[in-house]
Amino acid sequence: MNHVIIVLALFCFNFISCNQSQKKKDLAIKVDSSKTSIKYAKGFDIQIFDTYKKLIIKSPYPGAEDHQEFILIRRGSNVEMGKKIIEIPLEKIVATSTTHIPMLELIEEENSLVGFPHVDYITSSKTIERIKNGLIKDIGNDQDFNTEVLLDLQPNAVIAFSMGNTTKMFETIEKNGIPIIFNGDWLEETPLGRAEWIKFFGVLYDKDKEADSIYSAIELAYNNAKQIAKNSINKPTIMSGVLYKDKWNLPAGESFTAQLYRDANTNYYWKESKGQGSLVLSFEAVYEKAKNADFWIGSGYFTSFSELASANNHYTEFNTYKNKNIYTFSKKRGENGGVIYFELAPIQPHIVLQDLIKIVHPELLPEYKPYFLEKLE
Amino acid sequence: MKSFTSYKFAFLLLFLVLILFLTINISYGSVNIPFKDIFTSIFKNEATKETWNYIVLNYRIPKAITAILVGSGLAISGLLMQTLFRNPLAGPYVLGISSGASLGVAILILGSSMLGGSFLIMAQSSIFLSIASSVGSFMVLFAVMIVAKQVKNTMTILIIGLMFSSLTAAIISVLAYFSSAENLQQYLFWSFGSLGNLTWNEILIFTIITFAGVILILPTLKPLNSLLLGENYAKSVGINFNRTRNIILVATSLLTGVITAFSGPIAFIGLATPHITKIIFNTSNHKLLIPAVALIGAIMMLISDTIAQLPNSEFTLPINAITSLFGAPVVIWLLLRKKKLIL
Repeated sequence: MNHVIIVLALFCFNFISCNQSQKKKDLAIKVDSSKTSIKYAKGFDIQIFDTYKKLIIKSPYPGAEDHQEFILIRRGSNVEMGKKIIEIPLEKIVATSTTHIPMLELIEEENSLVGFPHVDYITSSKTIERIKNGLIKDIGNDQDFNTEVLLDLQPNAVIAFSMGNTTKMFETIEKNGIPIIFNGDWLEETPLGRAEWIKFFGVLYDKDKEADSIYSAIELAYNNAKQIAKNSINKPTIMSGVLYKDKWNLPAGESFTAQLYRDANTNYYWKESKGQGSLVLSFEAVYEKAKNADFWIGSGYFTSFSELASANNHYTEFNTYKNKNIYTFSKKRGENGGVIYFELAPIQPHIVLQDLIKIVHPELLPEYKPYFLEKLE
Repeated sequence: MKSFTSYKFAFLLLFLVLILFLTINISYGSVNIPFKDIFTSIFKNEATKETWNYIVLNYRIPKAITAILVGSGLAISGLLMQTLFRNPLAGPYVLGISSGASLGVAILILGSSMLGGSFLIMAQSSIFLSIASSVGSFMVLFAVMIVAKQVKNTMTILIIGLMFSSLTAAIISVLAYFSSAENLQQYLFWSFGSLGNLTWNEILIFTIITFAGVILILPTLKPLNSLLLGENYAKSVGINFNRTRNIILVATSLLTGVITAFSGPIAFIGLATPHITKIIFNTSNHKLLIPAVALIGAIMMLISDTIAQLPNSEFTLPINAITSLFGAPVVIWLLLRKKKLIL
């Protein structure tokens, strides 16, 4: 009998505590009810509370174990949180990747950009105009800023990216009270995940709604294009990349680019390979597999067939070369020579996908004119 | 001193080993091609698959020939430098010749992002890379020769060569700092070294220049032996020291320049091969040493390349990593066994 009571008591206790934790969860969900829906991006999250928002950077750099968390409060409001607090909307920032620029332009906040490393990479004409007018300072190398110039700019935040653990340089900047927010858009595996980083800028500028609606339009266009591609019965074979000396660099099977090839309803030879970055293969391996490929998408900096042949005669042995089916992203360049694709593609995955579909399944998009992808001359 | 016949035997053995590793090198690669097909493609040009023919004839065989040329050329340069400077640490790198070649390539690749336009395209072309590299190494050689005229002491030339290396390395880092990520990556790939992207035409040029370098040193074989005993001894037995020195400098820079031009800076082989050879042959007669280092250098490059190809996997390793990883322990082991360095 005693046992029964104990068991019952335990059961009750369990039940009650379960119930309580359930309540707590419910409460948390309630607070989170207006949480922005991050659907595809895996690298960040936004939580919205009554008086503040929380920006969580889940993968600040490759292999990162720690998350970055920022409490975002409206400028002027009195909130004591003790953690990393950023007053929003941001008014003055330093960005570090060209992919940040079109996102700022889309939410009409490009005027807040005051510093950028290696401004020559930028291709956006709006921003180039501001550089010419001296409104954007060059802060040096992208992994080694000119710290003095940066500190002198006194931005509200630095939107950085890092290849590895945080460096000394970032510590110095943070010590001076300028928060470093790591933007991991380049680590996303899916095209829609990358584009979703516009919501990251949305929340920092208190323009969540604008960012959400821009993103929804991109998502819709992308998924529509993907549906259109499914209408084709044939799956053309795709090869990619170029040789660096005797090593062939091409996108790995889990990369952003490989996902685009998949969504365009093609058969990319290395679709099964592991990894999100690029593969480094021998010439033999690529030649054996891709000699008879239908299309060659992405031929490095080469923009003509003759350049390709003079760089390495092996290229001419591929059927894609013989049939003149090689396309590149590098032909469209900005005023200062930067490749437009690198800057715009992450926020325009729907256009990249449509470009691909137009080239591999021309019958599906008869009226469409590709923007990024062009045939070699 | 061993008898002449035993050296003959040693050379025959080395030659057979070379043939063996040449066969292994051609037989193994990322793509698994059956041994039978290797032969049919070489002799009849009709392997089971068309791609195999191309891989064997236009990729693997040129790569193997490049390995042999690079290995023997660097080993000979290393031996010449070690004898000329009477320093066991000397190699093709000491005069700054390799660094000069690197500087030429760095200016072309890394500078292209600043100059833009047609430079971007030129930086992708192997011919322009070779020209840039040769020009770079000859510029440094030229500077060394001018200095050599002023300075009589060989040690001073050695130190000046080292200073040239540091200078060029510094210029390269400044260039690297200001260049774009894409160009930096291209330069890095070049500096890893590679054997496998020469066409038959390039191989022909490579072979001719390498042979020219070797022919140049033939008249210096005898003076080289006396050089081992010092400049003064060489002069006392009636050797035109300055002429010998200049020939050696030109030959070395020619060999190193062309090798660096076509395959990037290859580490270790030039320094280590002469030591390994001297331990095996136990002689300091250059008439024997020159062909011996050429054979052993070629064998070492063939082995390194076979390992770098990671047979039967799609991936490959940079050749430079292998030459050092595989070579350095061999030298340490040999030296520990011999317990002394033969100069």
